[in-house]
Amino acid sequence: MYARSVKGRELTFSVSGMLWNRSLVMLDQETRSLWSHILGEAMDGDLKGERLESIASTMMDWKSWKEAHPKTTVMALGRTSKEYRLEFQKKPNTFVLGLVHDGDTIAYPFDLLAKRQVVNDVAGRVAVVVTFDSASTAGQIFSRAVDGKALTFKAGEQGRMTDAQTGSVWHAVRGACESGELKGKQLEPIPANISYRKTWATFHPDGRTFGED
Amino acid sequence: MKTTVALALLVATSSVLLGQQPMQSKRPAFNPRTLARAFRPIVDAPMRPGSEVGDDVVADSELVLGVVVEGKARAYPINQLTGPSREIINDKVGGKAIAATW
Repeated sequence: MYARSVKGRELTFSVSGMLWNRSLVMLDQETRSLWSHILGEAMDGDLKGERLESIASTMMDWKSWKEAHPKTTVMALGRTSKEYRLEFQKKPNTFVLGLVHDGDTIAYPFDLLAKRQVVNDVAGRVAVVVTFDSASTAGQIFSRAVDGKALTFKAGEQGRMTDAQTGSVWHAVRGACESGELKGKQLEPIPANISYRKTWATFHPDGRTFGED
Repeated sequence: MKTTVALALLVATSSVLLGQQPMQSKRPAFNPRTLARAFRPIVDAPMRPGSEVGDDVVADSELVLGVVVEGKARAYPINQLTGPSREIINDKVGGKAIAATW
């Protein structure tokens, strides 16, 4: 998920019909520059070298999403497939949650996330927590900083996590503190990409995979 | 063959010694293959209140890509984002121009 304004100019993207290492190449209508979908970077054309701002998004089942966001709107363009249901992400070794942040590139395999539920890590100089909810198959990354201090999280019951510093209870997918001393605090989401493990590895050859260091 | 390996090692070592960014050198070169003509951009996809749609639009167990901008939530069912013509949706959420894609 990307913002599509670059230097104050709004761009309109389409599928270019080209693939680069089996990965989608996007075309902007305004300058006809070619953009790598996975890198979010213009590879050719007038905007070569420009990057798109990533926007935090989450993949989960529709029931969980509308419960979390009762006022949500939804696209109604008609189906082009039927295979992407909850069971799809239950083959978790296929995908990674990919993070490029503060000069660091890290892949978090979904099978590891499914086992651990909550992973504390550091990307560059930024303390992050990666959360995974098995019920909705949602994976999410947040900064662990709250009021200038980094918290450490451990998995709790029913999609919740607790921080070691205060014992407060947080909703793991929303990153919102629900009870305890920090009630009402919200963790800052950090954009990440769901990607096929092999594709991510091709485009980020120098990145690390969490759990394989 | 041995020469090639030795040369590759020398190049790799030099780039480390010179402090070059290895990410730039190891990233694959941009050499896209054209498989089809460019598709028309999608700019006006219909959006409906989530509380009003039924299984004909999206069923409970189907995966969606969800985003929240300025407090406005929107979901894009993955089963509507497949196939080459559908991989990018140009949209506006919470006043921000976004490209919904995964």
